[in-house]
Amino acid sequence: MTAPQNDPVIEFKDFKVGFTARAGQTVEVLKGIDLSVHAGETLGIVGESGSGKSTLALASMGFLKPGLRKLSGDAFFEGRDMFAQSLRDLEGLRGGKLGLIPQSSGQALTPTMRIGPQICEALNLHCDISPSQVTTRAEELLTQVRLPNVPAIMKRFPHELSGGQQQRVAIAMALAGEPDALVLDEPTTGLDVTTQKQILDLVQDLARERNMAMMLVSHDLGVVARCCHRVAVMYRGEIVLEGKAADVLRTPSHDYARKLIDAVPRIKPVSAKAKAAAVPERGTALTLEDVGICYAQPGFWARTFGKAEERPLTVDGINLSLGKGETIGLVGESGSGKSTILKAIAGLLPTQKGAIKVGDDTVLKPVIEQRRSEDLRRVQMIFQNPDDSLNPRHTVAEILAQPLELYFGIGGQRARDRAAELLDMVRLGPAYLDRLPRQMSGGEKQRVAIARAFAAEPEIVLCDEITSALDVSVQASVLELLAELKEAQQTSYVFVGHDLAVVQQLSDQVMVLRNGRIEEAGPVGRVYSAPESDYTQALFDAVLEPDAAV
Amino acid sequence: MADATTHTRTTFLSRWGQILRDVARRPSGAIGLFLVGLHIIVAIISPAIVPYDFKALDSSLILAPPDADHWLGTDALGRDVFTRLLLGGREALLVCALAIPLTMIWGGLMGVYLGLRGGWVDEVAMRLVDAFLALPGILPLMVFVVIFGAGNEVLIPTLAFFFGIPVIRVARGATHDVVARDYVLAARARGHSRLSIMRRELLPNTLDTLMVEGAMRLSWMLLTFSSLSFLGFGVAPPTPDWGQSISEARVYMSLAPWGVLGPMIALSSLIIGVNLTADALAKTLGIDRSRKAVV
Amino acid sequence: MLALLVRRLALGVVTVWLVSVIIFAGVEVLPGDACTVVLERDAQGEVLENCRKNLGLDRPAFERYIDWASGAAHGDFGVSADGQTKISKEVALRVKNSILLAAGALSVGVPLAIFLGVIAGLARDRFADIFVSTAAIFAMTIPEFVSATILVLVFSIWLGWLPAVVLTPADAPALEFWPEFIPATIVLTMVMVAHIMRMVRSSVIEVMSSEFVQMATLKGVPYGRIVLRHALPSALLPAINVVALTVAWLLGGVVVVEVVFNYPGIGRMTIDAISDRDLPIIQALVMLIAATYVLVNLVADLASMLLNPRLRTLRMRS
Repeated sequence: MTAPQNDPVIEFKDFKVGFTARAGQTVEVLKGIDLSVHAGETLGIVGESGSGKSTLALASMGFLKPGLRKLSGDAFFEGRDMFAQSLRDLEGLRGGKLGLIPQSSGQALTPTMRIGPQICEALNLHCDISPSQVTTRAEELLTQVRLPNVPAIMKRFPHELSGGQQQRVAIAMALAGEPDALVLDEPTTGLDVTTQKQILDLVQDLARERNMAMMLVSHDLGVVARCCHRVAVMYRGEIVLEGKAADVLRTPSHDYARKLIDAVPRIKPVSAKAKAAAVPERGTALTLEDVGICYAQPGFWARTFGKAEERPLTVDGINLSLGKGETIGLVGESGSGKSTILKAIAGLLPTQKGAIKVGDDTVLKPVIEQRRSEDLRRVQMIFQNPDDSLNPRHTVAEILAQPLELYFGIGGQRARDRAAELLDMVRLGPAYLDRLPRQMSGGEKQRVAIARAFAAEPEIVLCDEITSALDVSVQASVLELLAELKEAQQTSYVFVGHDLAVVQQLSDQVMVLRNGRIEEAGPVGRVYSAPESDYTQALFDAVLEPDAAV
Repeated sequence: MADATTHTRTTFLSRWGQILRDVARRPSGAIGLFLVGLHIIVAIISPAIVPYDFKALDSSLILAPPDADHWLGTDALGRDVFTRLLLGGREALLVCALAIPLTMIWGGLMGVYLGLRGGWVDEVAMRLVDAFLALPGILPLMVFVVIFGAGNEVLIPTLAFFFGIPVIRVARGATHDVVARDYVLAARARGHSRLSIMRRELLPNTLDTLMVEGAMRLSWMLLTFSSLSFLGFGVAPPTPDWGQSISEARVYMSLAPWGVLGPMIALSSLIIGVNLTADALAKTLGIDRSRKAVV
Repeated sequence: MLALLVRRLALGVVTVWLVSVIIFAGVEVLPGDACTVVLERDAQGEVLENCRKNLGLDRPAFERYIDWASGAAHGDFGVSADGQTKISKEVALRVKNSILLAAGALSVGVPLAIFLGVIAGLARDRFADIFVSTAAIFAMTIPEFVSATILVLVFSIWLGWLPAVVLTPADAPALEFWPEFIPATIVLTMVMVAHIMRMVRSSVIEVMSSEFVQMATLKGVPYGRIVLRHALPSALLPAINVVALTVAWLLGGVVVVEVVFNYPGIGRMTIDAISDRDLPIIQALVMLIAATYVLVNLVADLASMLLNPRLRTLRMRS
């Protein structure tokens, strides 16, 4: 793809944004941005959380979040200084010639307005068409974004649509003003991979048809690689590298950018040897036999007056056998039941049928209260979001002391010594003992959570999307740590993930789930090289990688 | 565990010390704390500094206007208004200061327990809570006073019981927010007992909400106490109390307005002080209490 | 949606039933009954027993509860302790007066509170907000008998603009309470405006900082339209429940204000009954007030269910 050259549509010149901190000094969020986007061109802006990429995207529309202010420099749209426009002119441009596709349309669509009126509102504001034509035009727009059954959708409220449909409505709304440029702020975050691919295809087609300039902000290098002509890498409010997508993503000429791009896990081609390699037999760690789980637990009224057997099982027919020191990856789109299975193994959700066995013979009872403490010790869980899984009022020493006291009766100085050892093990060191969770970064917190799980000296560790809340560079080091611990302690992992590359990196077996049933399962080598099911194949096809054909 | 426990205690105290400083840094908190502090000091030292005996009658000086001897004049029985003003907040402060901790302990623990327990116990208990909330305001309190008398041994437990019921609801709601968090799930998955989860995970993390709630309930309890007293269901005469003084002095308001102004200002400033402090505390802790309505 | 509705209705019925049990049991457990109150010192021996027989107090508590509850369900609360007054008739008069007072306060208060709340919320932390919010703290914390006293002192005694107390008898037609009921209405309005306004303010602030308001801004929607079309429908929904609590409070518990202004409503009747220890009247009034509370909240819950698209379109199984 080559980018056509002409006058820039969006342009930043030495643009600085900042806020006044408590102590009175000015903190810069954007530190002198120079950037331009031309008609017919898509510019990708990548960076980790806190790099300022979303602030930059919204600033192109002359908008800063409350508390932020422009310090110096300019932001132009079609030659107009966006921070010198009157409010009325800004209102005309926003949603008119300059459209926004927001991060999560579920939050961005007004919940009390039906879809029809919301689209028509945009048309009335920005198009000079007669009232009778507005509805027709709205229907055309919704058809254009490939929504089915448009008249029915027009009468719906936003919450009645799926995530993908909401995103399509947002796109239609952005198109209402026949824009020259689109700003996309993480447009596919939170969507399933297959939906993500459809949305990106749609946006790309529309951009080509209308010769629009697009500015796409994303933390996902794969998304950027797929759609962008040029890429800018942001780090702490600065653009550290900018250039043609292929150059930036394949041969980055900047240290940070290279680190960032290298850290993205990629699906590796499966070697013939790996395909043939049989898993060594080291005894069984975990067995699931025809397990069925119902996610919605009946409430008091239903249990008293309802008939329990009427409830359909959310997850059913799950069989699994995991060897000692082995890892199984559970993958699938949201709602496929992968986390539900994990919670059932942990005892947080009771199983309705089937059996869960630990080791060769211990059958776990369906709920925690009936399990023996020794059995509980053998299975530990690590959660997705480290901000949520550590008690904010406890220090690291206290957090780690809890399993030690519960399972081994260790307290006092001995617990503190052991906690220090555990911190060494996850490479944090004893300096962290007296810190509170809010005094640590996301990656550090996740390491503490890992240390807490290993404090119990478990045989099986359940990992629930444990890297998805982390930035890619942090994710890489956490995955490395997990692999090391597994080697050292001969622990088995059940690893839930939505990123196929991450799962491949860590797993020996993989199980693909769909609507609570097993779609396909087998050794990683076999499933990744020759998936048997069409659905699995579709999942692989939807994966976007930074160095795929740009 | 000894070491870790001492550490918790210091972090706990230093955290609340910091919160108190932050409250005092807000204008509303500074005014509130000043008013509350002033009232507490006056309540403690007033018996030593009052110029007259609060029950001394002087039939020669009935409804006398303010002068050098009686700074705020005298009331309908010839008692010194200023003396009764200085002493008039002691009962209210004493009763509420004792009843509020009881309220928060009973309501807070019950709410946290129900929030964690769930199931039929929670369902039945909440129906009872709903029923008690439907009982109108201060009427049950008045009934108790009429039957058992207005002694502190009746008022304190009665106030604590009825004020604790809405607290159950608030504590249960706060617990529901915490119970869904992963660190509580993690503790459950490890197999900690319910008591241990309440003590280690739930109480420390609902404490902020409960403190704000306690401060707010205190201002309403003072209001209720003085209303009871105003209506004649509170402190028995001749013990001085602002609510009662206002009720007595209102009758002669057109002749002797000085009798009613003092207690009105004193009582209002105390309740406003508590409320401003509660408001600043809520803002400091990031808890929006204006969404909680008149329950 | 239907299941939700039915469940909510059932909860209301259960609550009212529990209230009736609590009230009846409360009166049973407390020392003394209607006879000991009426007979006072003579309450012993044969006299007491005859009295109990006459009033049916010698029957088992369960039987008496059934009688009382079924009567109450039909609006018949029997007669007062001294056997002089038919409770339902007297109560009906007072209810009319209380409704008059509540209607006066609500018709002024609710629109005013919403207006002030929206203004304060939109002008967050600016002068208008600080002024209105501070005034609200004063209005809701100053005891009603204090604000009432100030009102009387200034407007009745010093300026002579308003009547200080109500002298109209309880059974007078509604119109005759004009202008005597104005001071009471003002005091009540102040308190309720403060509560509702604070809630509306924080709700407006929350909604105005939501993503969909930001999106509407970036869609080019003018500010006025954002507020009216996008923000207020979401922001005012929670106000329904606060208004309901206020209505329940006005219809049931304004004892202090009614006493201060000598207004013949439910509150005054209750306090008189308590002073007289007239248990049948107390039971009847508390039951009535509690039932009103439950009913008003029920209506509010149903209304917000119907007005909130998220709940309205909830299918039987979400």
